[in-house]
Amino acid sequence: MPTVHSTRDSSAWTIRINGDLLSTNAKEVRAVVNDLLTEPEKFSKTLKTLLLDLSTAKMIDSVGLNLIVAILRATKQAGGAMKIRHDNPNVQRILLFTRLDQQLEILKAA
Amino acid sequence: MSGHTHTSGSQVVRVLVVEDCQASAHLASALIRKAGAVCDVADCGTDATRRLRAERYDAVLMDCGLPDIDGYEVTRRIRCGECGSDRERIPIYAFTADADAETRFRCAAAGMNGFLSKPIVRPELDALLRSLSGEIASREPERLAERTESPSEAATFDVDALLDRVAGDCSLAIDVVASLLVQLPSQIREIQSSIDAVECPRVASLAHQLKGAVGSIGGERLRRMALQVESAGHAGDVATLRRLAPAMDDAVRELVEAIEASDLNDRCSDMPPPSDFSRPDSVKASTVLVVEDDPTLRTMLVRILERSGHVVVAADAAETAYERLVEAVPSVIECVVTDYRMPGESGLDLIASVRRSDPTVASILMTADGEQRIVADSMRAGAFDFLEKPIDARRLCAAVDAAIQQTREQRRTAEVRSGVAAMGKTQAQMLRSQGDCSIPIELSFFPKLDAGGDFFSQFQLGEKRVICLLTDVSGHDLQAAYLSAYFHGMTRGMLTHAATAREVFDLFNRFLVSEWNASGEQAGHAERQLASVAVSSLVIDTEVGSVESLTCGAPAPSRIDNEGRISVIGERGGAPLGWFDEVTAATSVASIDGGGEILMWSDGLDELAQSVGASVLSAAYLVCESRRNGKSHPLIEHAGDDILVVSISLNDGQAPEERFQPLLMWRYRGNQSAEIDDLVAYWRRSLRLALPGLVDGKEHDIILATREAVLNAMTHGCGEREDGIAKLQIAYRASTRTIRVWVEDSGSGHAFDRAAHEQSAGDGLVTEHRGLTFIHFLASAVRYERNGASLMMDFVL
Repeated sequence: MPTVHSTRDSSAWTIRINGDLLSTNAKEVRAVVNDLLTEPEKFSKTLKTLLLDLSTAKMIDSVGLNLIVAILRATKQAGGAMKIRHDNPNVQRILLFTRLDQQLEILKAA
Repeated sequence: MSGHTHTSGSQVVRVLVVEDCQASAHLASALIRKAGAVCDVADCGTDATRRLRAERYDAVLMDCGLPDIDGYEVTRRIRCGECGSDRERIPIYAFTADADAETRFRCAAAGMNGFLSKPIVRPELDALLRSLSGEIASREPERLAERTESPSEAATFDVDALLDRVAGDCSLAIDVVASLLVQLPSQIREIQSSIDAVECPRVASLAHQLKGAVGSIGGERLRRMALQVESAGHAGDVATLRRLAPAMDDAVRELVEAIEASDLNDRCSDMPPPSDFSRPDSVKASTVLVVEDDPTLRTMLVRILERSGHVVVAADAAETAYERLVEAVPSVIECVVTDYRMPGESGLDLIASVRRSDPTVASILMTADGEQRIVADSMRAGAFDFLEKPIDARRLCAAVDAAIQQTREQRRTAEVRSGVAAMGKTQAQMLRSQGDCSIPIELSFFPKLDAGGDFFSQFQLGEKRVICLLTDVSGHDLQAAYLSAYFHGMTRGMLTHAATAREVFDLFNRFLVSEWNASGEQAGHAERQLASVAVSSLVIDTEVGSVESLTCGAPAPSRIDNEGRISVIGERGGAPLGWFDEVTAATSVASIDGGGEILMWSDGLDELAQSVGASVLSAAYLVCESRRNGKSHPLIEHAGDDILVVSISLNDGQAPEERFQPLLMWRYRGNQSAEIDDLVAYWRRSLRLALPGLVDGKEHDIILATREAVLNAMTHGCGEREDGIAKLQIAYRASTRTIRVWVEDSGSGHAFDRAAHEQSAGDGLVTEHRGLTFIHFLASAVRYERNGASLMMDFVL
């Protein structure tokens, strides 16, 4: 079962992760955003919002967090904004502790 | 019964066969139809209940294993009125190939009335249909006269049937007939005077007795006449009784004449004496109690059973039977054969009483035609089997032999059980009272059976020197318990005379290999299993501060120090004693500086841990805590083996909750990082097994920080090399509610200014060393040793 689902339209890009974001599946997620990470300028003006949907995640480890940081940096370079959606208090703690809440918008899953 | 149609008056017997096997259903329905009854087939439980709601049936033959709802459940539903209140009491017979005691019990408990063996056989089916016809007739007394079993159609005296019933024993046949001729006049007189006195219930009872007696000698016409009288007596139908009285007189006279005119004596003088009734060699003759009020039948039963080699104690009523049982040497009587309907207590009451005083003795109930409904009650009362009258000699002997075997089996089992229980009691006492020991030792023992092969003993070798021995003998029987006791006794004796653990092991290994196991093989004792003894010994010297370990086939003991560091003492030593000629395990010595605790356990604990995919140390924690709290745990209760955990405190006077208890210890290779999710799942299961109340947030923090630390040790400390080792240890101290995790690797570590890094990583989105930052955020306390190659994390719950 694929763990990453990616949908894009003219301005928004949604990446939905099935389950946790960990060292063991980070590569798969990275592959989806590889173009953005390596050449963010190519996405200039076309990428307004990147939404990382972690609604089913219960854990993010340091590799997963580093990937989030990399995507955030690339999105910013492309002139867009990143959002994360989740529904877990442990994930929330990790995001707050790393002060990522000051760099991106955090949405609570419905 | 060939050519006989099973009808009751104008009503044809209707049977519903519930059977999913087509071949079996086909055979049953063909035979039922051939016997003149109507038969429908339902192929599952749902179909059966549907048909029962829609149609009227007189009986159900129920297969127990059906594809949707099993036969027991279908029966329960019918009995609960699911198919209509008028169907609740319909006779239901289990239609089964396996009518063992358990099946019979389940059938009776579900509310079934009896059994029919599969594949279906004609005589059994006929008996059933006959009884159904009788039941329908008894529900409709006005149709009694119309019954096809009219006396005029039956033989007055059927010599062939009689000889067949007594298995060709002519002298018995002649004696039985003579006995009947003696009792017949008085029986008839009593019936007549009871009819004159309008004592209908007594008439019914006397007619019932007459029916049994004449039925057993082949007097079918008089038997049917007696049946009619019995039915009229039950119904209180005085007019019919008065009408039948002279006819019965005639029938008696005819029977006597037919007997006199018969060629019974001539035929018997021509016949060779029959051989004894054959009995399986395994069943030795026994003492059987026969309880029957009818003298003719009693004589016949006694003679048949004596002929079969048994000693027979006879009684004419339940009350006399009790006297005979008291007179008999206890346990001599191995089978009770009793009539159901007798003056005073019924056979059912007798069986229930006998079982209350001696549950091991098997009883057989004899019932007359139309009394099949009693069978279910007899099963509930604990009867082993039932026989339908008239009694057939071969069937009687076979049933009695089977009952005797059952009794012997039950008595053997009871004997072994009480032996095992006594042994277990002794073992438990020995475990508890081992005298004073200079080191505090706690035993958590959950035996699988009353007695077993797991045992522990300690022995003071000097003022501050103690030897601890834990054994696990293969098997869970008395042999295992015996060998275990023998080993510990021998050990104690040898140690008293300054022998070492190795010398004890060597000697016992030689005994097992060259005496115990060899003699078992030579003598071909199939019942004696080859024995092996897994054993672990520890010599703890608190003065020197060392522990010496020797382990053969048992789990190696673990030690946890006061810092929560866990280590294995010695290696799990290959073969148990009894396998090979030499004991090859090596002695190893470790320091016990830093105190703490040592745990020893038998491999039942490993099995328990494996069954839930958790660490053996977390299972040890569960077992010790269960014992300390006096509460068992479902996992322990359902364990497949004895569980014995020994906790030896190296901190004198300290309560267990004040020291760290080990929960998990594992060594990983440097190249295992891809498996981290599986490893995490194992840690999680182990934590949950030991600490089921751990809240989700805390579990998350412990698991995530440990994950980061172990991955860091594998990738950086070990350089992802296969020969690099990352060690993980998790311990818990209850008094401070602290989980302590140690992660160590075989690398040399490196210097790092974490505080400075943390600031830049947060603000400048730096990704390096984020794992370490995580660890500091999640843990309550963190400590490094060896330049970071050894990491300690505390989590306060």
